[in-house]
Amino acid sequence: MTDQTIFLCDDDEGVRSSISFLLRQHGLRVVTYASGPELLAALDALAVAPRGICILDVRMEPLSGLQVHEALIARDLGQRMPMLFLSGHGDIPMAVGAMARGAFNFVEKPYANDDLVQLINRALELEVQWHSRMARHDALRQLIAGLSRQQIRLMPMVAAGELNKTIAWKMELSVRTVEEHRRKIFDRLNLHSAAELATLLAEARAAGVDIPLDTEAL
Amino acid sequence: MVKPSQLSRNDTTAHSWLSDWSRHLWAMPLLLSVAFTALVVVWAQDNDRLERETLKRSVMADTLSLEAQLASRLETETAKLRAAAARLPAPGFDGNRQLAALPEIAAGLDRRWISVIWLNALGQIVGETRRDQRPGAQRQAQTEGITLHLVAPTSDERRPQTGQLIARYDPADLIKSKDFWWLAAQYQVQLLSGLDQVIVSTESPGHVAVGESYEMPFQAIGDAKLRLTQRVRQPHWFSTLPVILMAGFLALIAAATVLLRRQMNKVAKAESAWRTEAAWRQSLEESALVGLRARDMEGNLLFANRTFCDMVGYTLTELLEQPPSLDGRTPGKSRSATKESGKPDGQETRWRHRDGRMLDVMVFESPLVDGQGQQVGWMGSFVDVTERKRLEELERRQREVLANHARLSTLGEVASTLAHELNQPLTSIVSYSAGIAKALERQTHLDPDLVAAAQALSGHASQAGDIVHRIRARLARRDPVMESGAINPMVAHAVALLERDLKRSGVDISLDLDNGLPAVSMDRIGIEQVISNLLRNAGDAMAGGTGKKHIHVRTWLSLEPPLGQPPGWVAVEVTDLGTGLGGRNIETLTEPFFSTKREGTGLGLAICRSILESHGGILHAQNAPIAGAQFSFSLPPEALSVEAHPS
Repeated sequence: MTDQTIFLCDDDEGVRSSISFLLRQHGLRVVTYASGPELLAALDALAVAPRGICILDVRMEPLSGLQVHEALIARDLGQRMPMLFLSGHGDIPMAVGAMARGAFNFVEKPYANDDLVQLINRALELEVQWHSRMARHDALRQLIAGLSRQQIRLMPMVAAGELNKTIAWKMELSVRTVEEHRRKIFDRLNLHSAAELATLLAEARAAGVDIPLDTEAL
Repeated sequence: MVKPSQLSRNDTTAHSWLSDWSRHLWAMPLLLSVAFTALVVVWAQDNDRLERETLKRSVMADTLSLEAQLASRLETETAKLRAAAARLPAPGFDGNRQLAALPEIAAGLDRRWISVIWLNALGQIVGETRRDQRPGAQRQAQTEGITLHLVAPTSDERRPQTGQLIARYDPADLIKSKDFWWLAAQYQVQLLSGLDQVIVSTESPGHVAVGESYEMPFQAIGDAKLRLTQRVRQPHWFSTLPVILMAGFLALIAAATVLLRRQMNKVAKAESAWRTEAAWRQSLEESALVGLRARDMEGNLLFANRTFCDMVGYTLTELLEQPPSLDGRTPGKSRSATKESGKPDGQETRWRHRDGRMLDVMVFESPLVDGQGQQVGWMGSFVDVTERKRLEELERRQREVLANHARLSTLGEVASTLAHELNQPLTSIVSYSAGIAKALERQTHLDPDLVAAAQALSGHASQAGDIVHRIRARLARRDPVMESGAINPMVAHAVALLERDLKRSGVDISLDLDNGLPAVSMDRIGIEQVISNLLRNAGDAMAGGTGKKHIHVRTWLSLEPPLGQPPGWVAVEVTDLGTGLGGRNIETLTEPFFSTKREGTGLGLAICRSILESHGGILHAQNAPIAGAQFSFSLPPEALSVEAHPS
């Protein structure tokens, strides 16, 4: 968690430094930027993908918070980094619009002292969750990548609870071969039942691993 | 004063034939005079006839009498001649002398006889004597006419029929005798022969009498007739004085009639002109949009035109039957006021129409003066200014609403700017104070005062932020979205939202919602804001107290719409048991930035009023009957609010 950074972008110096001060007192790492382009340039300059969240003021020059948001989405950071908006008077509809585009939340200025910190903590948690999920997806992908092509094709049928004989007949394989594959799959994925395999398959699909739905679809 | 409507209808038929008659009335005197004259003529004719008969009779009688007298006179002469004849001696030698010597003969000659001839029995003239042979006899120019004669036989006892004595006489002498002067004055007396030849006449031949005449045979002279003709002709009946007078009278009457006719024509023309004018004036009075009313000095109604009747909703007859005090319900003092000032300046007053609605009336009262210049009453003109006043009121209210809107709009701008400007520093304060508080937590030697100060700083900053936030939320300009809906669910919803908070502070709420309310056109958010605000105010009003805390919310159909508005308004009322209004009126209460609460913005009611007024509604405030304040608002019925606010 310590490697998370809060990227704060607000054109008002007072707001910037005060929030930075507050967050630092909470032990959070904060970097501040006075404008959108500044933030984007800084992010682009990073060697690795940044960890943490972005706090964007809705009303800024030359780029508004929403435009910065768009730019971040274009850099594929929309999902990775929760976006928290600071909305001033009259820009709540814009903040709501940003949420519809995938932003995490918005805080209306002036906020009650606890609200912001609470929201930021939740955003940070979310970011961690997201990263852990990403890590798990990577692991899954690697596990599945270790299976043979035939085993991958077999998996949905096994998950569907079909008998070895049926699978053998469908795949035009011997029952024995099917049994061998099944054992290898369970071993490799460290599973114990077809139901567990079905859950894993759904997760893998969500993570973007290419798994055929069923043999018949082939 | 004419009361046209009273005499207009019922006697038009009678009037028509009367006028037909009266049109010919002028001829009546003439006709009567003619009839009278005709009667007089008939009478005159009759009278004339009678007179003529009488006259004829008297002529006849006179003729008879004259004939008798003449006859007796001739008889006397004949007797005298006989006497002479009897005394005649036997014819002698000188007959003439014998004759003249006879005294009777001489007397006869002196009297009337012209000559006397003595014939013997053989018809031979024995002697003759003549008047002119008489001594002292006047020479008489006569004998131009016919003479008549009397014959007497001369006989004696001894010698019968010895001859005869013939005396010649002049009949004119007979007739013209002075003895008949009275007859001669009156009549022309004529003696006619059997062949109607005039033998003798009392008149000269050229002169002809023309009057009534009568003739009869004159026995004394054989084959002769006596005729009496009235010297003066009896005038014809038509030439008698009465008839002439009548003719004159008739002529005068005719002339008078002509004059009368001319005068009547003039009058009729004037009358028709007057009628036209009267009708014209009546139609003016009736069609005038100004109510007209005339009253006598005691205040009794004399006349009212149709507009006036329509204005008060009574017919003229009903108005006339009413006692003066009830008439038109004009207070007496307004009249006297006009009297004193004497100016035609109008005065405004309120009347109740028969159907109960109130009218605003402009009254102009002026003295009613008769033809002699005497004041006989008061003439009032009345203009119904209800609609004008309603419009004025509406305009005034709209102006107020606009002003209020403008004020709030300006306020909104200010609040927005303030909020915007304050937001950033407040955010900073909040963040810094929160940061400080957090930082202090980590200090080993914790100074509790410092922590409290930091927390208080944070809290106050948050509060300031909240206030800015609230002001902005309330003043933010938002276009109202008008939609039709029922008020009850709105009230229930607002109550449900606040119920928990209110319960927490010990306030309970009772609802009394009328289910039969019509839908109203409203901006839901705005109206909900109003209801919430009233509820919150009610709750706050009781916050400090120790007594019972209760809010009563009621909805009903308002039976008393604002001036000049149709009924059907929907009213919502919120009553609390707080401290009441404290003598403040709605104007003060809704003044922006006026607040009785320490933390109040003073905008709640101002905004409520603005919202309601943009709906065409009204906010009321009064002290509740027992204790506390009673706030209510009413919204116009749907149709009306749409009409009033088309945008």
